[in-house]
Formats: sequence, C-alpha cells, structure tokens
Amino acid sequence: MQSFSFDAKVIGITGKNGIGKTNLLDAIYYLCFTKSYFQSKEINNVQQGREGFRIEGHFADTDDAREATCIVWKEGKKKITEKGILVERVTDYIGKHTALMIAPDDIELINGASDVRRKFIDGLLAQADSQYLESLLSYQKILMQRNAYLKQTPAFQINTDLLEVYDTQLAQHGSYLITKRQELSAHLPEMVCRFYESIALHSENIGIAYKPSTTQPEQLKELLVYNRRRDIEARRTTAGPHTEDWQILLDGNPCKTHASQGQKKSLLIGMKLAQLEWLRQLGKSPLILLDDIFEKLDQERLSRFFSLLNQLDIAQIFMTHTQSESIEMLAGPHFEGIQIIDL
Amino acid sequence: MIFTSKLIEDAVEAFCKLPGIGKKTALRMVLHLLKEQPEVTSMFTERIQRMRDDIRFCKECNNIADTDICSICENPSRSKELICVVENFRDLITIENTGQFSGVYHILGGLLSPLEGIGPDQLYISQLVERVKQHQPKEIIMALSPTIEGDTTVYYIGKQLKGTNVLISGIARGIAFGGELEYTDEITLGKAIAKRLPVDVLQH
Ligand SMILES: [Zn+2]
Repeated sequence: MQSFSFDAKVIGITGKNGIGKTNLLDAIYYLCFTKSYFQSKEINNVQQGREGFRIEGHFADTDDAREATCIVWKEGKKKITEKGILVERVTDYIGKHTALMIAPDDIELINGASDVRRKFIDGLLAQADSQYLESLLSYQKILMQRNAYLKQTPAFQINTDLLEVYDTQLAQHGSYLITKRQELSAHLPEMVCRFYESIALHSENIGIAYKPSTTQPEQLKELLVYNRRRDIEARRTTAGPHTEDWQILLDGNPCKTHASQGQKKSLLIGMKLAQLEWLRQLGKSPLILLDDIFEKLDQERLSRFFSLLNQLDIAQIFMTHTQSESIEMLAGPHFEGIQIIDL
Repeated sequence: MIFTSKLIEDAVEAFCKLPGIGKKTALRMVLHLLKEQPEVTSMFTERIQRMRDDIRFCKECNNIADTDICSICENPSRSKELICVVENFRDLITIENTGQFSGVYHILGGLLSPLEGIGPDQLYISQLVERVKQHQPKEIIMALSPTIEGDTTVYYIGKQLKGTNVLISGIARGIAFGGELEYTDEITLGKAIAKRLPVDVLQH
C-alpha cells in the first residue's frame, strides 16, 4: 500500500513513464465517481496476481477530514464506506466529490465515434439533472430489452404488441433526453467559443450541431414505429437517442477533417473548460486532473490555460509529467508553491 | 470437513442442497435428527416427499395448490370480480398476509424480460386474458414490481385486454416500495392495495 498527502493547491506528479502517475490521478477520479476514467472493466484495474484493490481518501472539504472515504473492489464486488459507514446506494454517494480529468485520449471527443460525444453531453446533463440520469438509465435498460427481443426472435414470430410497448416506453424516456440535449446544444457553442478564444487567442466560428433522431421529441414514438420493419430486419434498434451525434464545426466545416492539430487541441481544451464552467455553475467545485497535459499543448497555449485555471480559483489541481523541472518552469509562473510528488 | 461416516456425509450433502445452508448448519440438523426418535425423521421425509409428489398448480390462477383448484379460488367468500396479478407465489403470500385483499389472484410466473429469455409465451398471460374473457371480472389489480420490466408487463397485459370492459388498476407504488413486494411491510402494502389507482393504458 502507498499513501500520499496532497498539501498544496497545485500538485505535480513526476516520474518515469510506466511508474504509475496516471494511476494515481485515476485513483483520485475513482474516489469521486466510483469508477475509473480509463478502464471500464474493473478487473483491469486490479494488479496482476491480486484479488482486488482498495482506495482510501481523506477529503478535506468534508466536515471531518480525518474520516476517510474508502472503496474496496474484490472478487467482482464493490464496497464504498464513508466514515466507516457502508454506502448502500451508489447514487447517494456520486456527486459529493467532483473531478474533471483531461487526458491524451480525450481528443477522441473530436476525432472519435459518436458514442464519445454522447457520453460527454450525457455526463454534463446527468450532473445537472437527476431526472435526466434516471431517464437515461431507463432508456438504456429498455433498449437492451428491446434489442434482446429483436435478436432472439425470428422475424415471423415477432410480437408487435410487445414491440409497441417497448416503443412507448422508449419514447417516454427518450423524448426527455432529446429535449434536454436540444436545450444544452443551443448554448454550448457559445461557452466553448469563449474558452477557445482565450486559449487560441483568436476567435473562430465554432458550431456544435446536434443531430437529433427527431427534431420534435414528441415524435420519437412515430420514428420508432416507422423504423420497425428495418429494426426487425437488422435485429436491433437502428435509430433513437442512442445513435445521435453532434457535428463539431469550425467556420462551418467539420472539424474532424478540416481542423489542424492545434485547432483541435484548443477546441478540446475549450470543451473541457466549458464542462468545468458548467459544473461550477451547478455549485460544484471539481478537482482538476491533468494527465500529460504538457505533451498535448504547446507552451503558449499551456500558459494561457494555466492562467485561466488560476483565475478560476480551483480547489486543487493535479498534473503529471516526467520531469519536475518542466512543471516548475511552465506552471510555476501561474501557481505559487507547487508540491512535487516524485514516484 | 471430514466425516467418519459416509451416511452422515450423504445426509449433510442433502441438506446442503437447500438455499442458505452451509456444511456446518447441515451437520447441526443431521445431528439433531439423530438425537430425536426415528419417527421424527420418518415424518419429516414423508411430508417433504408428499409435498413434492402431490403439489399442483391451480387451473384458474396458477397458484400452488393441493388440488386442481387452489384454496383461494375455491373459497366462496372470495370475490371473483377482483383479480390481483402478481409475479410469483411469494408475492401472493405477502399480499395475502396483509389481510386486506378479498379477491382472487393470478400468478404470471415472472416479468417480461427478453434479456433473461422471458417473452410473452413464457408467462401465464394468455391464460389471464382467457380468464378475463370468460369470467368478466370488474377489476384487475397489477401488483408488480415498479421496475422497467414491471411496467413493460403491465402495459403489455393492458394491450391484450383491450376491448374487454375490465378496469385495470395498479397499487399505489412509489410511496413505500423498496423495489420489490417481498420487502414491503404488510401495513404499507395493505394500504397500497386499498388505495389502488387506475393504470393509464389509454395512451397505448
Ligand atoms: Zn387458484
């Protein structure tokens, strides 16, 4: 077992590649969200040859900082205790501590498939609105049932009454998802634009164009019914909130194909800062976890990014890099008394 | 655990087949039977065997029964106008124990869940529809878990009963339901059954 004490507002985690810098950031993320930022399969978070893992953290923002929050994962079961008391519902725990991670693979938000963007948008909305989270979970459960039914039933045996029920249930929850996604998508570009400008130092016309499965949320049921024959043939639900995407545009052109590497990086930081702003507007004070940010941004952009973070009065910022000198040199001018933890 | 007697070992293994019984507990039970008169064991095994051999399922409601028709369906003081639809036998017992329900039941045998391989044909839904058409009860109370699968099942049954004049209601869930009927205490459940609400099946 290893233990660390983070005493400064800005923490630099240094050490050779493969020493576990990212793991330490992820452990902090795990304590906030009870899951890894990088690994969705829990077994992959376990050191080889071990039965499980244990993460314990003392959050200084709670009433009694001496009492720890502890998460143990062993043989497929996760147990969360707070001040020695077992947390019975994970949903009661999530939201108490928040973190924002920026990691190298995040560029997938711009380059990757639609599911990465849906996860980003769903994450924003679920943090703000518990009804959204509930609708999302219900929608996903119904979708799994509907898809299982389509997959295992030959076309000529399909019970259309049952499909009709699933369509109604999907539409009930899905229309709420579309409505909320529309609302957010209407003012997200403006937020991203503002941060993009402060990072790239020149303005660009940024569009985040939402492509809803139906522009009228109340027509989702009709859409599902309309697609029914196609769904039966494909043996899965081919369209709905679970296939929607956002097209990211720079001066009207799709970013994926038209933006330079530098523009994409500025845009990514812009989106992450918009996420931070969103969380702060909800009254949350997230910890910032920066994995390998020095590799991702050039010195000028990095300097502007740090200065922005400094103005925002963040509770605590963690950053990883191979060398402590670079952290001192690039982050030093923006933050006082950086604590270096060398692994 | 090492046994010096094969007979004891076999008996312990038999008890271990029961849910929640480990070897230690099983051994305690076996040793207990050994301490008692032989008749106690005979009675015990006979009763279990008879239960297994003679048990059937009620032709009306699918309840566990001793004869073709269960004791609830047979009871003339139970109202046939009121059918309470439940998932399984345990839920029936829970509702029965509230003493608040004087109608009859229908056990579905589960909830619609293709993920677990349960489609309409795996449940006693068509029997329920048939029963409603034949006996024309006034009201059907859906006492199913307030889950996605519970909702699917309620809506699906509602669809199958379209065209009959039966009123479909649900128990007032949400107030004290911890998810499953089994864990709901009898007083709250009794109140919920008394205060049932019509299920909105018009939208389908
Ligand atoms: Zn019966």
